[in-house]
Amino acid sequence: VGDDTASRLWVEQLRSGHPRREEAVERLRGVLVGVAFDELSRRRGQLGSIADREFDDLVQQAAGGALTSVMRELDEFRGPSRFTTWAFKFVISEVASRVARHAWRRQPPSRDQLDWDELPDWLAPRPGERVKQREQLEALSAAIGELSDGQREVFVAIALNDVPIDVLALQLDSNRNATYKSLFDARLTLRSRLAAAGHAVVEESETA
Amino acid sequence: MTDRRRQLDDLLRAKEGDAGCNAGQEILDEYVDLELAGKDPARVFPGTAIHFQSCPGCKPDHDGLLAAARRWLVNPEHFAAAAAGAGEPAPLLALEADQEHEGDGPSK
Repeated sequence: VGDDTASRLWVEQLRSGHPRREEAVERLRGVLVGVAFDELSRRRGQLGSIADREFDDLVQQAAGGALTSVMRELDEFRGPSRFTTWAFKFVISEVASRVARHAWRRQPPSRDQLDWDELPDWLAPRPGERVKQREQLEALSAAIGELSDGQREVFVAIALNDVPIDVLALQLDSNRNATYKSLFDARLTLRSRLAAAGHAVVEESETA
Repeated sequence: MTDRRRQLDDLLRAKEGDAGCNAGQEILDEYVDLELAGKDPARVFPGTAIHFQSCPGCKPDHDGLLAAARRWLVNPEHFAAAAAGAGEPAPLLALEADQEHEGDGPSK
């Protein structure tokens, strides 16, 4: 642990054999419950309608899971972050995972959210748009249809239909990293095909 | 940039150098503490900075951790109130709270 005195004290007191260990574990558990409560509140919209009791259960489960991870990984903590930031990371991970699982069980992505038919209304060409813009959207539509099945499913669900990435990963029996890789590759392919068709998408930073 | 161009840029956001989810999760705590120390984490972790702009899963994780770590620095008693809202007895915060009030911010 670096020169962060508070972090060093946390780690020392949480180690087995320390006379204040029990108190330190309870103190940490209380803090993690507070972090879990805040983070679940921030993501409450993804939970749909949920009873207060069920919400509180999720808070306790996320905090408990995070505390277990912190205690298991304690000897691995070397900084350079603060101990508390490091510990809170486990809460965020637990909350993300539990929110996704809850949302997936409650309402898994529908076939309509995964299937490709045509551009959604919010992206479809609008009356009055210039010919070049309409052609670009038509080229995008064609390029989406030419993606591999796996890339198209991920792109359509996440980018076009706002399915949360962790919910989709559960649906596909995959994980966030692999699902993101598919999304990233799909986006690169689409950019490349649009550019080849003479409709390159210019990044915002390139126009600044 | 028109709304349509911005919409397409967001829809197809994929930048070279994106470090991916696993790399970002590994250093997320360090990344956030650099931000809280007023430093630019993109200089140390450029690939992760790109990733956080694009990933719909890791960006909210980053935002959540940044919010929690900032609240801890500014007002650790907040967590006692949050825990009490979740039906928990107020946690004992004396140790680090005292140190934060005596100190001058992040130790970076």
